[in-house]
Order: sequence, then C-alpha cells, then structure tokens
Amino acid sequence: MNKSVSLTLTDISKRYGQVTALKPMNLEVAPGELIALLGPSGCGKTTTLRIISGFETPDTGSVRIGTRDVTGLSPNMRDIGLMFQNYALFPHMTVAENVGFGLKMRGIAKAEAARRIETALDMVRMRNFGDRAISQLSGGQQQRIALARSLVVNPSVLLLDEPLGALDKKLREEMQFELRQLQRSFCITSILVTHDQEEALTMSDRVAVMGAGEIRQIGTPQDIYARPNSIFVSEFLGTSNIFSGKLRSGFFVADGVPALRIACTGEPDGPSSLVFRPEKLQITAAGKGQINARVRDVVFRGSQYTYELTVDGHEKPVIVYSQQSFDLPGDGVVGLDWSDAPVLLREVAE
Amino acid sequence: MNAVTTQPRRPPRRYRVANAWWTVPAVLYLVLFFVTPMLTNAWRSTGSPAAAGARGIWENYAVLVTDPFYFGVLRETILVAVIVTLVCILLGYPLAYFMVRKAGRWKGLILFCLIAPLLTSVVMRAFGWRVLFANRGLMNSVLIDWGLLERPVNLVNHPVSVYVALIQILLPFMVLSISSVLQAIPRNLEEAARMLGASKLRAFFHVTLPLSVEGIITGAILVFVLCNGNFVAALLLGGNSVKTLPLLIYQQFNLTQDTSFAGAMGNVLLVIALLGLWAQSKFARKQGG
Ligand SMILES: Nc1ncnc2c1ncn2[C@@H]1O[C@H](COP(=O)(O)OP(=O)(O)O)[C@@H](O)[C@H]1O
Ligand SMILES: [Mg+2]
Repeated sequence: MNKSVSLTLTDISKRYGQVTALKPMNLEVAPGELIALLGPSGCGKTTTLRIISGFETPDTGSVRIGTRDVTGLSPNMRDIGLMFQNYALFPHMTVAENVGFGLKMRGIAKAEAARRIETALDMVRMRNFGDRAISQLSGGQQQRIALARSLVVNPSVLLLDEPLGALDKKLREEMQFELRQLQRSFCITSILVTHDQEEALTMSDRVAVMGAGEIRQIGTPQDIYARPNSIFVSEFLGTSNIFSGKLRSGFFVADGVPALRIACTGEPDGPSSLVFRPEKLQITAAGKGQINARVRDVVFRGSQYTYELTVDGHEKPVIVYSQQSFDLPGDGVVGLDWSDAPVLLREVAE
Repeated sequence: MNAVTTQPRRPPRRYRVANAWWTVPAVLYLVLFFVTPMLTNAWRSTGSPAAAGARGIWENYAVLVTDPFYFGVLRETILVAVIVTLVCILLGYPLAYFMVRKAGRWKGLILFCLIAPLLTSVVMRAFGWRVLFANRGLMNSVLIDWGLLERPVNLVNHPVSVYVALIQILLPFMVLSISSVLQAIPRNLEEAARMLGASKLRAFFHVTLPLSVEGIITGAILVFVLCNGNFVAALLLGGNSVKTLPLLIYQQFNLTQDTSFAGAMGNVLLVIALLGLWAQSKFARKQGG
C-alpha cells in the first residue's frame, strides 16, 4: 500500500547554548520498520524528532528519507507525519476537517478528499464521528483522530512523540496493539519516542536506548533485554539485579559476596558487574543453590510472585520472579540458583 | 474529630454572602455614584422642566440625529473610533504575535513598555504629542535635519495628531487582548499544520488567526468603546478639527452649559458602549459552544 522508504540520520548533533542536547548520532530505519527511541526525559528524544521533522536545524549531519536529502527542507516539504503527545488537534475544526487538513493543503479535490477522510475514519474505527467537535471526543478518540490525520496523506515517514502518554493504562495497552497493527498494515517507516520501556518493547521492531544525547544501545527488544551492553541500559530496560565486583585470572568475584564466584574465560582482568534478570533466578533449598539469601518479602502479583531477598554483603535487595510459592523455612534462608549465564558488564555502578 | 472535618464546608463555585448587611456599603456606593448619576442624567436629557412643554422628551435625541451638524458629529465620532480600532488591529496583532512567539526573554520588557504608559495620565500623554508635533517640535526638527522636509508641517490642531494620540493611548488594550489569547494557543497546533503540508503563512491563516479572532474582537470592542469616550485627544490636539461627541459634551458643559443636551449625548455614547459589550458577550457565547 505504501511506498516504504528508509530514514537515515548521519552524524546529527545539536547544542542549545551550553547544553549538548544531541551528540553526533547515526540511525538507520529500514523501510517499514518501527524503531523506538527509549530514554529518560532530557536525553534528546524530542530534539531528534524535531530535527527529523524540520523544526530544528542540526548543527552537524544530515537527514535522508529514501534517497532524498531533506536536511535543509522546511517541515511542510518533508512528507513526514508527526503525532504529538497531546494530539494537537485543531479545536476550531470538526473531526472531518481535522483529518482533511493535510488533503486540503495538498489541493486535493473535495470529492476525493471526502472519500479519503471516510476511509481514514473507518480505519481508526471512528466512522460516524466526522461532524463532531474535537471537544466532544475522549482522549482515546482524539488519539485515533490524530493518527488518522497523520496517515490520510500517506506520508513516507511517521513520527510518534510519546503518542500514548496521556492515556490511562488499560486504554494505552489497547492502543499499543492497534497502533502497531496500523503501522504494520501501512508498512510505514516509523520512529516512536517513549520513556515507557514496556511500550518500547511491545511495539517496536528495534529499540534504540538513549542516554545523555546519544544512543547507548540499539537492537531487537529481545536482544537488548537479554544482552544489555551497560549498566545504564540494563537498569533502564526491565528490572536488574546487579552485583559489582572484580574479574581476576578468569574468575568474577562479587564485592562483599565471596561465594558469588563465576568463571569468565577470555576476558581481561578489571572491575566488572554481573546482571541477573529476576526471572532467570530460581529459589532452592538453603545450601542447594549457588549462593544463600534471606527472603525479606513476598508479593503476589496475579501471574507471578515477586520475592525480595537479601544477600549478606550485598547492599541492594535481590528481586526474583517465580511462578510458584515456596514453604519458607523459619529463618527465611534459601538458596539462589540460575540456569542461564548472567550478563557480564565491564563496568561498575558508581 | 480533626481539623479537616471541623472545617466549614463551602458550596463549590458559588459565592455566598455570609451576612447580607455586609453588602450595604458596596450597594450604597453603587447607588450613590453609579445608579443615581445615570438616572439623573437620563432625566436631565429629557429636557429641563421649564422647557419641557416646548420640547418633547425625545427632543434632544431628535436634534442629535436630524440636525446635520450634530448628526455629522455623531458620524465622525463613530468614524474616528472605527479607524482607530482598525489601525490598532493592524498594528497590535503583529506586535502581540511578536511578543508572544518571537520575543523570548525580551517579552517582559515589551510588556512593560506597553503597560507603563497606562500609568501616566492621558492628559500628560496628549500634551506629550503636542510637544513632539509642534512647529519647532522634535518631529519637525528631526525631519528637517534629515532633509525629508523643507518647511515644518503643523500637525498640532490637525486630525492626524488626534488619531496618533488615540492610537497610542488605546494600542496597549488591543495588544494585551490579542496576546492573552495568542498565549493560550498551543504552539504545536501550528507545527501540526506545518507537518500536514501547510506553509508558515497558510498555517497562520488556517490555524493561528482563526483561533485568535476572539482576542481581536475583545480588543476591538474595548478600543472602540474607549475611543468613543475619549475627549482629551480631540480637545488638546485637535483644535476643533475633529469634533466628536465626548468633546461636544465637554463643551456643552463648560461653554453653553446646556446640560440636558449634553446628557442626551452622554446617553447615546452609553448606548453605543452597551451595544459593544452586548456584541462581545454574544460573540463569546457563540465561541463557547
Ligand atoms: N529549545 C531549547 N532550548 C534550550 N535547551 C533545550 C531546548 N530543547 C531542548 N533542550 C535541552 O536539550 C536536552 C534534550 O531535550 P529533549 O530532546 O527535549 O529531551 P527528551 O525529549 O528526551 O526529554 C535537555 O537537556 C533540554 O533541556
Ligand atoms: Mg520529550
């Protein structure tokens, strides 16, 4: 249906006075792919989107859509759809006028425009809402209209700036699914900006984790979750149990927990950390696991139990997800075991 | 039980008068200085008791609309107000737009420059223009120095100076009305329009301007009504070249002392002002839903 094209950012950077909003950054979005830019607030996500859409000029680098270099082009010439966090619907126009705005700007004939507006409203399941005022719509409905308005003009690229941030949890989950389906069916090259890790993981083909104005890691959601390349990424994506320690002559030994000693061959000596994901840890009888821990708290969360344990010599609590509950011994001491190898990082948290 | 529950509960969003007697000073004040003068004025405008037999009670009003001179004054009053209002829109909108969207940290300074003149008396400002526009005033000497003029032009006692003074006096009201509405328009509406293919100009005419019409209307009515009531500019700068109703009222009181005719003219001005307010409330309601 769509002329899917790639989106290429080459060495784009941006400073605002003393603040470096974006360090030189490269990103290639394949045709039809959805990449999520995930990162804490202030890391440069919005700046990136504004450079792509043309509202900010990068200090260095270029933006290409397919083979077109659009770096110096004004926003209205770029053929990009942008969905704002607060939807930015025009309050003085009806739903149909909002959706038809882009068609009007492109000088598309009334009859043709009316047909396309109807199709677009159909697509977001808002068929009979054309004559409504924007103020009569709920948050979720406004979100759909904003999406229809962006897509009705068939842009080459779709940018979504925290599109679901203003919705409540249940609606957000519904819309994640719907948005993803629409994006797939249009096969439109997209960038989704979010600070919600779950949204990034469920909706995107690839996730780019950003921190302090640069991409810290990029890859499929599974890849990044299973193999974070830094403490920053592992902590930002999902829950992590991190043990800092030292690697010496092929063995990692955790600081303060000498029992946590793991063979790591082929790595040079130096300060390191081990990352355990909560679902990769298992609780066993005391002494049966690799190290011992004490259960401090158990929380039932419907689909699973969350155990909070303490390990002697380790400051932070250790979190374990488990499908079953255990009969705990009186002193609460249990063993901890793991089947998959934890992730070794060559840095320690400061 | 605790502090929260013992606190008196107030009905939300409705004012209650704790004790009806407390309103007495305010009501007295309004009756004494507001209602009474208006009623007196209405009564006075129907003609002095002595002459009441000779003239009907609408006589003064009839003269205003049938006598060519007075009708001309009425027409000029409205014309001056319309022109001043239009110029204020044309000057005020760009200024308000610049202030809200482009000025950044200079916004405070611009706002100060707009509001500061309001703290000076209108009379002082009108005299200021007299000094600037005088034969050997600043404007003439500068223009002659630059070689743009050969002989000084006398703008004092000329309609231009009345218009300039009125515009200077009333422009802040226009700018403030428009800027308060512009301020409330989210910036990303224009950006959304741009992303949908609108040039800067089209984004402005399709989105920003329609959304700020309310500010223009409020400002226009305010300027129009205030302009209708201003006699200082015409009195101090016009030298009888611009004859407006308020000026005439002033003269009726001070020279001919025909207070009943002045009262009638005052009531006409009042009606024009009320019409303006009515138009605005009508428009506001339409906008509201
Ligand atoms: N117009 C601007 N002027 C000055 N600093 C800005 C401007 N826009 C963004 N910044 C700064 O650039 C950094 C990145 O901002 P932004 O891209 O908005 O982050 P994010 O969208 O990830 O929260 C922040 O430190 C922010 O304060
Ligand atoms: Mg942001």
